Amino acid sequence: MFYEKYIKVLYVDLNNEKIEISHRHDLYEYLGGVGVASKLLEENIKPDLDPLDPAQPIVFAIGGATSVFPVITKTVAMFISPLTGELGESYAGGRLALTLMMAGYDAVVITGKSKRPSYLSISRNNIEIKDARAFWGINSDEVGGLIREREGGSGKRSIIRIGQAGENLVSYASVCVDTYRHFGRLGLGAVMGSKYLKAISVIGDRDMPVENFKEYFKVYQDINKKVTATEIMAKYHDAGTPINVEPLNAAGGLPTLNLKQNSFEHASDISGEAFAKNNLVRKMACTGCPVGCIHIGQFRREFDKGHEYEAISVGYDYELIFSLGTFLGIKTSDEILEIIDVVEQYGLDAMSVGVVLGWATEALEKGLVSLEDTLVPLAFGNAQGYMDAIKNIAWRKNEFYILLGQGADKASDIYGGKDFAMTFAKNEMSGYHTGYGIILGSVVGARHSHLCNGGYSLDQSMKEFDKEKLVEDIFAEEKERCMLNSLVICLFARKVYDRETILAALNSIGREITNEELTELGEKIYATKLRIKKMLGFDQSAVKLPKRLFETPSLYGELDEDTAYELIDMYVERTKSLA
Amino acid sequence: MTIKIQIELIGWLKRYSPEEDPVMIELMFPETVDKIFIKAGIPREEIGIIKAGENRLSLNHLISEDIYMVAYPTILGG
Amino acid sequence: MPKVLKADGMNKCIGCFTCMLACAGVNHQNHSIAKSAIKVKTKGGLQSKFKAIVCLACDGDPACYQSCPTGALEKRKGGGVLLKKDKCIGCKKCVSSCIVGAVNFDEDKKLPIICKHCGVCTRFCPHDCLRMEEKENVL
Repeated sequence: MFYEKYIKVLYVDLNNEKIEISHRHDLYEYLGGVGVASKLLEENIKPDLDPLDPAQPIVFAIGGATSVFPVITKTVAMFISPLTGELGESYAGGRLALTLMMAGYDAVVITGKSKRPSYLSISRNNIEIKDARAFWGINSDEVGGLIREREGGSGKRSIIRIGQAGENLVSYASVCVDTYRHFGRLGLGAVMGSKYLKAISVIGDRDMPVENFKEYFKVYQDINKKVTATEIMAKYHDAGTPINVEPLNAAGGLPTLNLKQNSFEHASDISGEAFAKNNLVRKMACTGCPVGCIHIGQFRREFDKGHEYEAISVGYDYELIFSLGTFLGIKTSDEILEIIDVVEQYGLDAMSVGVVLGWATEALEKGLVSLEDTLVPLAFGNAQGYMDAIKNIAWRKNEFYILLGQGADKASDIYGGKDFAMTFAKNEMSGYHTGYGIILGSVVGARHSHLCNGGYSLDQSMKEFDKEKLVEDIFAEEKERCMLNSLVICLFARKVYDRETILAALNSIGREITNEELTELGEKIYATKLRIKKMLGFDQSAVKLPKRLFETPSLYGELDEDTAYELIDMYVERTKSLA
Repeated sequence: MTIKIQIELIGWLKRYSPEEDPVMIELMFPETVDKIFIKAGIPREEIGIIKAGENRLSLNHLISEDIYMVAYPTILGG
Repeated sequence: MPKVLKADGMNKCIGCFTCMLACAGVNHQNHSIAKSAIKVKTKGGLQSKFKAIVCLACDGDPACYQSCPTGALEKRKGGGVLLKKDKCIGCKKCVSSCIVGAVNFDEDKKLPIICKHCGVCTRFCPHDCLRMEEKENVL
């Protein structure tokens, strides 16, 4: 809570439909966001039980500087991931952070399971567990509309919801946040589904007097100017992250056809420019961010003979053009958007589902599975086949699709083909085959995401390959992002929020904190996450890397398996200092 | 005898030369890629990969003959 | 010449709410967008466009001015009204009188939230959706 020395936590017990509010003074030093959430997760997880056991918690937390400074827009969700069996950590923008702040809660902890499908309604003066029986089985888009009509507070409201994939406990089911944003990775959708929790609606309108307006507003304006009047953020608004397609393609770092290739012949047809030219109709922002990096693309679909058309709009970003585009050999922007639409409706992680389907396609090619298993002809470039397959995953159509729904690692345990199941510690890969940086970063990153420590950036900027330096840089960045994710900034603005700016912002809202304390905070949070991973049985040294990483050359050149494992060992050694 | 350089700018980098595409630079003496891009008015921090045909060029690479280069922007974190 | 707020570029709105954060901050020293005079909402869900509900600076005798039983709303040069807090009894008649819904009520202070046409929101909009227009003083 701004201007208070405690973290206000809302505990929701779905078993007994009981609510408890706690002022946690002991958590104040963790600032907010992932700092607070990881402590709450540590307190509430049951390591001896299954990730989807009703006793397991879901923790949401907003940051220590949320919403009142530009681009500090995110909420963190922490849970036990059903995909990896260990630390689940995911970030989303939209309106959730602003509305939680205005409803008056820094963190929400949800345990138990409702007796019937429900949705949680949070507002400043009321918290209710409401009937969602008729919503169960309805896609995420429609549910958003239905809840909108039942709840007040339009304009100051956030609605997060799961689709059928979450209801059916697909391990990488996602949560849709305000139509265009997501808690995408690691399966939060399944955890909500396992609790019969279809959605959460948050409305906020409380009084929040500013204590030191002059100082606060000066800092606000300085940051706002940096964000809007300089070029730092301009690319994210212009054509957005899809501009990555062409440089990665030219440099041989673009994962294509299940990483059989590192470039795609049709890259220019699905580049950022191509999408902007053919499909872009709108740009949007998360509340509190003047950049507007959300790019909405539209395509026309002929749904029946007799000139029957509809227009579909979906958000697109680089990662989706990789996972549902180049990785699957899809050649046109329209087809990619169409696949994205299916993924959105059913509520799956776009990155994981694409990479899983890449494995499945090659598994079928190589005869590890047959058409009897896949039901549809999975082939690179066949968009319709993939759309049907995605629905089959969401509905757990048969044994094969149940396994696909548990991730490429699990599926390859049963059918083989582990060498080309492109996962890092069971989380499917991201869109960069740039060198040792992304491999090390993804494997040792606390949540196995490319955003944990930006390994792909280091691959680009490193002049000469230096093992010690790479390990050191990744370690430093991982800790730094732990601190940034307790604010919780959108990482697109990490160049704006240098230490000086962070200190000025926090001090102007009455939070006295020093630069040394920020460093210590990053370390404390990282240490907490490593403890949680250990509690959940994660062993960094036991992780195996898919051999395909070393068969296909990267942006950096051909990679050597022994070197990669050596780097992991060096990194594990380095983290011992955190104990 | 001048050295004729042509630089094709991709994507975001196009804004640094809206009129001329490809950018034409003439050198009297061999220069590094780094210096050539400074001459062309392209900020170093915006440059990602530079290619000449199939080869990647580093910023230190010395250019002593006519060449056609393609410059790509840095990869955004996304 | 006096100026009035024009929200006629809302087709470009990205829904960032910076205008509301700025209005609440500058005019009410409050972090909460519930205190903002300008309200940005969707026309019906986030797949639809954004609209801004703003004071239209009615000329002559605005409906809100006429509805006020205590004279707490004074006519403003250029159109619209100015709130005199000391005279306000919090009856909310002005809220219901505005047929475009531009008058909101601050439930904590028990006062209506009246747009001053100060222009702060226009300065913070990152996408040119809002502007100030000079208007003849027809008071």
